[in-house]
Amino acid sequence: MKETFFRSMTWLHTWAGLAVCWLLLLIFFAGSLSYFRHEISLWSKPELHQAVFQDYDQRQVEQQITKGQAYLADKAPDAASWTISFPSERKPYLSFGWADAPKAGERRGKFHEHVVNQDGQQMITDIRDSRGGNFFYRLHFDLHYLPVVAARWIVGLATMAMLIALISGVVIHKRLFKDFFSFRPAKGSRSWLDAHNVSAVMALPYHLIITYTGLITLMFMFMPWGALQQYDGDVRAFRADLNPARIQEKPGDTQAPLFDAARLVSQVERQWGIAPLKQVSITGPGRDNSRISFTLNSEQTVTDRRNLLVFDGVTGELKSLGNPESVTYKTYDTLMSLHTARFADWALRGLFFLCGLLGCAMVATGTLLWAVKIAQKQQKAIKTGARPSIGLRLVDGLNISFICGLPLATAGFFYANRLLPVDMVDRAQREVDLFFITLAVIAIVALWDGLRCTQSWRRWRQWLALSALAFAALPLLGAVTSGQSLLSNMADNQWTLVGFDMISLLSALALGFAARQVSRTKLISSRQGATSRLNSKSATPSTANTLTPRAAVNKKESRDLSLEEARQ
Amino acid sequence: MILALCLGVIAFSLMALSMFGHYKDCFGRAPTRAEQRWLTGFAWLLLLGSYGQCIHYYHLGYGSIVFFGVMTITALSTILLLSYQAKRLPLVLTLTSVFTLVFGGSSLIA
Repeated sequence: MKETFFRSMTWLHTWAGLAVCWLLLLIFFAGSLSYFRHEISLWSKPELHQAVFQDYDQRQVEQQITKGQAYLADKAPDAASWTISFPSERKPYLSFGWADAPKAGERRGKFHEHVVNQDGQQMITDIRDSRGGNFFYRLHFDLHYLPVVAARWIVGLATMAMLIALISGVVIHKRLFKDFFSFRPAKGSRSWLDAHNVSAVMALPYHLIITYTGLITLMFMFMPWGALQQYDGDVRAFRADLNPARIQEKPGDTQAPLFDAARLVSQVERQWGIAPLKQVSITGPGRDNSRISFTLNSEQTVTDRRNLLVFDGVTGELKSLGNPESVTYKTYDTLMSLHTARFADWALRGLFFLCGLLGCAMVATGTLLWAVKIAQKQQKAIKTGARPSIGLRLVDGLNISFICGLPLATAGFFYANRLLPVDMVDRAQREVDLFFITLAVIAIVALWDGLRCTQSWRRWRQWLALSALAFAALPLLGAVTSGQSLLSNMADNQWTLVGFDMISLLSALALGFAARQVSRTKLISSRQGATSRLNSKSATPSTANTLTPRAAVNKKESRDLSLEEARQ
Repeated sequence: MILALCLGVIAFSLMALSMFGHYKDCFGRAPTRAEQRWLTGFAWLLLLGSYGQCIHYYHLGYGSIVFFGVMTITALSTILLLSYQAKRLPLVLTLTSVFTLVFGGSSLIA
């Protein structure tokens, strides 16, 4: 325990944040990209970029269901389930899909999707195997290579640490309102502190909500006892009540003719009025226990639940209205929706994405600030020829690996999506592998630099510049490999793809700006790296003692700040 | 949302100007006590107006969420402007105010 409450909170903030910061950066980064996971998935399938996009048309729904049911009965009569997905804002195409029966040890069978062309006549069946945006979505809570349950425990614990760091951060930020608009660039550690404060305070409601609701999404894993007590330990019954849409019954053994789903549309309209539908799902088609579910496209309603109408697949009788209506459930649903933001239109999703990036900036600047302060403390010893401490070299290495590595690895993932052979075995996994290989290469280089004590801001500049180049060239890669350029996508009103290219170009600009600023920023001094011994040795006493007027001002300011911090 | 964004930019700019340091960066002199009070009060009113715009167009739940996003982006742009081009804040403030008046006025007439 520290001597004052303020110091205890500062200690808590530093170590709660530092313990999980790189993992949090990965979670925030992947989570932010997840806001556009359908859009990324669409970009990842260039087979769908020509003459596929269409708007939802209420008048054609019955016809589309009839056609889909006939197509699926022909293609996959023995499937575990069929899905007819209607065009929506985020997935602007009509598709017919089916899931195979799960193999032993699997929860769900493999899902196949065929997409209907704009003319409604041709089907696109050869779509490349890619995880697309779903990779980032799963990565932010499943961590890809780890067992799912272990990964969620790790993510959950990191989220708890984040919540602690946020609350203690608010407590220790005494000048929250006075320094509300303060960002003083090119002033060493003061700039990093300002950047950390600005990125945290500007999106503070978002950070608090996303962290808290992140815990809510995992609450039944952390604290299942209340529900288990209520349901006598029957988890399946509890989940069925909580989310009827996710419960899948095994197809029965007895054959029975399937009801014509298009004939149910009038009943659906009686319940919901003329509202857009998201999809029609048929479980156990051709079996005596089959079900036909209509899912409403809830558009901008702040909800995460799937509004369902479930019918008997043999008789067409209405079986259930889907969801519970209790106040507790509504509260839970609202909190979940605030985390997933599935209700948000493109503009609001863009704002969520921006706040997510501010979260990345908050974590990154926090850990950079720590490294810079430790480097400052060791500066004297380093100047006399001592090696920077292992801790400092490790933190610097992890910083460059994650802060520069994540954008470059993401670009690598997109390049792999377009450049790997389409018929490659396990292609989707190879794309993912390339993401982690890129990250590993940067980490190995950082480790090598750390071992030789040659870590420098030059390396940061190289990786950032390479990332900027990679993102700048993505629209070109897209045009060459899909036949649809940025301009032709604009002409064809394919705004999802236009948005992807624009974000790539903006990312290139931001990364290029960061690369330029790294060379200008006086993190320790204008010539030195964070832990570079070679650079510090080369600084002569005469240059160290002779201060330019600007450096003198900086020195005075840093003295004032130290005084201010000591007073606090 | 455009009007809500404009109102947010004006509100945060005024709020920044009500602070001693930022006012001095822009105008080269310290603000008077009355100016500070006037700027702060007007900024809060405009922020309220921005919230009103959000819930008017998007309803209470969705509009409230949009408003937090609007606050983030407008406050961030104000900070970046103050950090790199502080002298241009009055010009940006004037242009945004004129645009808001024209855009808001034409929306009312329509």
